[in-house]
Amino acid sequence: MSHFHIKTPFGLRPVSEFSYGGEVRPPLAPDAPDEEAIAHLWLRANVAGVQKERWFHSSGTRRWYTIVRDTRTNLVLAQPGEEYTEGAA
Amino acid sequence: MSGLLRGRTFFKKYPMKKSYDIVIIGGGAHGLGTAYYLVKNHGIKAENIAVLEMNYIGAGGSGRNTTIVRSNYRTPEGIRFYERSMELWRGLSQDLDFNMMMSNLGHFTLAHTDSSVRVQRERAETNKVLGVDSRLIFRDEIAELCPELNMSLDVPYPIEAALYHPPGSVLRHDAVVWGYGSQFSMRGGHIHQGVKVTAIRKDSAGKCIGVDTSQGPIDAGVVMSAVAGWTTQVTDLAGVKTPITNHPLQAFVTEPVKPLLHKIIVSASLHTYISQTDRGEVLIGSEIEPYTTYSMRSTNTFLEHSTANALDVVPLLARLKIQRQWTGYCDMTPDYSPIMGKTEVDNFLIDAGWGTWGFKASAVCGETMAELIATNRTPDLIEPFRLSRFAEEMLVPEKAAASVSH
Repeated sequence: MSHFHIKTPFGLRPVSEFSYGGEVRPPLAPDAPDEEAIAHLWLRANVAGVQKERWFHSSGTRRWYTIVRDTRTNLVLAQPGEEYTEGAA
Repeated sequence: MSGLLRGRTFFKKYPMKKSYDIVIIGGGAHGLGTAYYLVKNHGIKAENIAVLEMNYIGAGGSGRNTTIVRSNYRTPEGIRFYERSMELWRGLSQDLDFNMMMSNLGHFTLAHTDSSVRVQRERAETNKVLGVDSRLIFRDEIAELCPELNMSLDVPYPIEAALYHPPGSVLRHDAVVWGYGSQFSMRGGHIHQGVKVTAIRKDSAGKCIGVDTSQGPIDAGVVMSAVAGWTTQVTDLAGVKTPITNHPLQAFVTEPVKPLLHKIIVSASLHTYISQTDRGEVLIGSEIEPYTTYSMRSTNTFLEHSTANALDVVPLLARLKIQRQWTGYCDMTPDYSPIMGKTEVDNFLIDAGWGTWGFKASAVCGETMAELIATNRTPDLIEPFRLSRFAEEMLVPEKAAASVSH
């Protein structure tokens, strides 16, 4: 596992303590048509570049965190609570 | 004697034409296999087929994999598909006039827990019904068949049982690529290396009519994507969305030694697989990275974990030195089965979702995708792997048989 850190209330913790929750997708409206629900359930952007994603701190604080990461380099561009602005890294 | 050292040219060079009947993106085992079977089985003229490869022939997964072929999968759909591949592998050296160096070692899937024993038993029974030689064996027989294994009870996860699949083999992956490629090329087929597809062109009705490449546009009757780890980059060009996510997989080989390991060993619980290649190197690999990334960096963490697990299973490897380590892309699907066939864009076909099980299927993929292109009808063998299965909730769950990457 390549190494990067995610910020928690207890400081930066190694990614090996976390479980991956996948790319952030807009929530599905309760009255969304079937095609939209199916797409939401299965289809992924699988971006090669900047991605907003969720991580669960399974071996630690047992909470969810949202970060922005460049999937090509594994550099974390925005830690939880930080705003990501393009080109900032 | 001098003939032995004579240089051999595998691929002829032709100038790129403006138009082909069939354009295959990706010059790996799948793409070249499809091109070969189109010519051989369906009589399509080789000069009307182009295989485009952005890197060199056999780069990516075709050039770096675990070379294991087997058919002891879990679902009837999967077993039938991979069993057809095994039939093709057995005759491929003769068919392509190229020595695949297929070594029929026999394949062990070790079970270290009761739940794993249950899964292996289920696989064995399904295999038997479909005529695949596969059975559950226990400690005495394991120790007899593979004395190199650590049968000690004094380890965290002692070996309880194993799924034994005698037809499991290893073969030379480069030979597969060169064999398909040279046969296709010898018949006049066009292979263009170093050509990157930059756009997939569609007409006003949304039908695929060709591609733009780094060396100019090409008109095409049918475009097929066989790019495995780069699938999303190609399907994005066509506007096709898939459930694929990209996870890297790492593996390494030790220094070459004389034959010492006579079976292919896989342990699902310990996330490791071990086999000795035809060059004498011991090849060890593990699980995919659990998160999506396009980084190909190899890591020390991986080496640490997988050597520890491998030594738990085969302690005699302890004194071997590690020679090479590498990382490759795996285009994973939610149900651990491939995505093959037509897409919502007419004349744009995909052969994707090959995750960690692509190499062993390359022969049958070539055959079935060629049939699909030539007849415009999806063969029964790959019908279950259609892209629309996700929307139809008709998954082909192979995680139990494919998740440890071998």
